[in-house]
Amino acid sequence: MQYEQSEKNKKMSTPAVNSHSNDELANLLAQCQLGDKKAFSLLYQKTAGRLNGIAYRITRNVDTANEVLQEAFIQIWKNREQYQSYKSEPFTWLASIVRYRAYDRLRYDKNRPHNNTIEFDENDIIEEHFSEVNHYYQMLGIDEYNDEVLNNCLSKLEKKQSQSILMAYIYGHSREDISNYFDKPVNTIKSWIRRGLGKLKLCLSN
Amino acid sequence: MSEQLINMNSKAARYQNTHVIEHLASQFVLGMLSRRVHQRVVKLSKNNILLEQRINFWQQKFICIDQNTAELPPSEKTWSMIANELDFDRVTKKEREANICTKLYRWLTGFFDLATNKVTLVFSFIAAIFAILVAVNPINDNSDPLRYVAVLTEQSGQAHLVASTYGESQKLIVNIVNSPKIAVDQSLELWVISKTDGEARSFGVITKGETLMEHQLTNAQWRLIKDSQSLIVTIEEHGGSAIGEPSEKVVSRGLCVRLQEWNENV
Repeated sequence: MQYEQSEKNKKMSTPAVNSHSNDELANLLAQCQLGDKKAFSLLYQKTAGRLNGIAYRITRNVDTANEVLQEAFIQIWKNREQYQSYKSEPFTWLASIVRYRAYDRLRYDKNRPHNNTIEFDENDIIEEHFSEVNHYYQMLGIDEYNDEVLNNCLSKLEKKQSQSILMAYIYGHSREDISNYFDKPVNTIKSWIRRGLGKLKLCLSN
Repeated sequence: MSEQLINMNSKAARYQNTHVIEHLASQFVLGMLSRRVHQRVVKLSKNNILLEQRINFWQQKFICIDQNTAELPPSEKTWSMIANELDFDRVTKKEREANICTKLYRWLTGFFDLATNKVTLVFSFIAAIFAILVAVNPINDNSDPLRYVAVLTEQSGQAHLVASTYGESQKLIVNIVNSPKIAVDQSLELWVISKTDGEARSFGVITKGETLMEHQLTNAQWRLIKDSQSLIVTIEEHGGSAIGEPSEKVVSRGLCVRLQEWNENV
């Protein structure tokens, strides 16, 4: 399967998940909790594209992304009782399951010998991701459904702090990956991320 | 107060420290914790409201990035594999066939003296293989050949379960022939031991009360099966191992036997 259309173009053409769709997802999850398989199928239809996109963003392999999506939806069904609407938005819950599975899969594939699931040279990928991080700043700024809070708060950090945080969240890069890119010790990266998160927490909490 | 109790209290107090909680929560959401620590935090968050709240806080703040990630339509077979794994369409047939396998095994073992473990072990193996080969194969609609089988036996020599795959279907069929009793707050978990690195990797929790399970394997899990040396079942806390590693309470184990040459083109 070819992922031909660039990420940037797709972002402009497909609407983000909004509060209306979150209500719909919440209703579907509630029905799933009653054992409604048709509701689960509908939940899949409405979210699989976005969730698969998240998996691909992190694993950088189409087949692996599909596997992560499959495992995530099995986990979603088996753990459907755990979702509670007063604790988090439905899409946040779904996306988090996919994201953590993708991070885990990325680590596993990196550590396997004779790994053939990562398609590109790791250093080239990191370079590409660092340049693409700026697109996310722009995206956060113009998205009508976003209250721009995250964008504003990230802009108050030192650039390397915000870049390091976004590289970890968006692409699943480890401290070692980021350390190699900046040619700084891992402990320096840990310090950047820790300080950046501290400032971010204060800004986001206000 | 004993040293052990002091250590336990120190550990518990650490997870009430707001700085520790904030660190764990933010690193958790960024995906920067090791697999072991990640699973530990998942377990902790179920009993630590503050930790759970901080994880939810960070997840909710960053979610706009995910909401605006470009969509990628999944493969057409992904949904059918999910539905198959969750057995959405095959419940009644599965229950019927599970009864046949279990009754056949018990009928065969009833004819023999179970005085020695060796006799039980050998006969359990033969009877389990017979049950799989001759009795109903729940998914073998196309008469796929038996490719891989492992009979897991307890220390007493009695067969616990039989795991098998057929053809290239990438389905793992688990027949539970004699499940040990475990406490309400415990679960049985199935692990595959790799021939390459000797590591154990989980294939999930065995659902209580089930006698027949079908597990649609991903390509990665399929490779694990082909690389497998043996399977084990362990007793874990309810829901499975929190640290991604098997406990020392091994209930049963069995070598993996390949009955046919593999086609390596996966």
